[in-house]
Amino acid sequence: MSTRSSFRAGLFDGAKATAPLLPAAASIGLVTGVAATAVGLPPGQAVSMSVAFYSPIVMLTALNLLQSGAPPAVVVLGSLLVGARFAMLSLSISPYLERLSTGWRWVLAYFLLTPTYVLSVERYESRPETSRHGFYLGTAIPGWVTLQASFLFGIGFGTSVPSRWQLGFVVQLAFIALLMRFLSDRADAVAALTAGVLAVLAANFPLGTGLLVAITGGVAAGEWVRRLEVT
Amino acid sequence: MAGEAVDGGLLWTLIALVGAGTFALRLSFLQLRGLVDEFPPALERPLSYLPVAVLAAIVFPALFTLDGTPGGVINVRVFAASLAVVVAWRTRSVVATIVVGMGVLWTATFLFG
Repeated sequence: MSTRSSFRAGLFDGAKATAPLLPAAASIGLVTGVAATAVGLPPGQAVSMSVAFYSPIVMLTALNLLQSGAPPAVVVLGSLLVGARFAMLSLSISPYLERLSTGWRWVLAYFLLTPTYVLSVERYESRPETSRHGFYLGTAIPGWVTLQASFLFGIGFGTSVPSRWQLGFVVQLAFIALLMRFLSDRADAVAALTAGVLAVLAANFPLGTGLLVAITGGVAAGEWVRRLEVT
Repeated sequence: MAGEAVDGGLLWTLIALVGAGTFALRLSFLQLRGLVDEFPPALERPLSYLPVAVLAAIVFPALFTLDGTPGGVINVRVFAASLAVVVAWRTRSVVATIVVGMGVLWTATFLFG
């Protein structure tokens, strides 16, 4: 098989693999769009944010912090802390992509999200002959288009709803849903609870130091519980 | 509202910084391949708690804090959020969580507001 046709086959297989996940992507995109208008972002900034971040969870973090009136530096810091797990995905998938050119690696890096990561690694392991960039892009492009299109619908919906509907609450509810998804064991739950309680207690610490105290405390508590369970 | 708290130019700077930052995090090891073979285990586990700690540290004060001081007021939103936690935990569905949370908020506002 020539390189070009295996690239195309990879694209096609990737798209097929990602199809079952598209409804979920559409719903999260819709919710993020509603959240962006609820926080009061103008459509231009909202769309730029959605394209630049390409991560609903990083975006919802930024929106939450903006809504609670956090200083801009804290918004940037909090969003990047949530995005830190991308570095882990990046490291974990890097062996499979090392033969690709720098240009391709930059393109693929932009599209790195958990579903694309999971589907691609699974495929590279089960069928090593798969076109690496073909399959990866095949999973990523439909996901990107679905997310951005549903985001636009969310903006349209959010702006057409009167303010007495209190849509701002969607920002927190979406966050709660994502938080519960991330909780996988007791250590996670302790980390979350500790961070949450500390954040409330430290709410009037200056310039986001309360947030840092809460996050550090939560991570330490999670690690402490894990060690107790191991020994 | 963001439009009031952060002015236009600052908002664009913020979008550019977080956008560039998330891209750099994604590209990091694709580009630095060979420098590090595996994630330092001492960092890996604390990093795994990071998302839940950050999310909780942001959402708790939004629910339980009034005017920047710990309030702990049991209001309609706290009640709606508590039910949303249960729904999110049982269903793992973002849509179901939001439908139930907003439904409770609207019903309670209608009845008591």
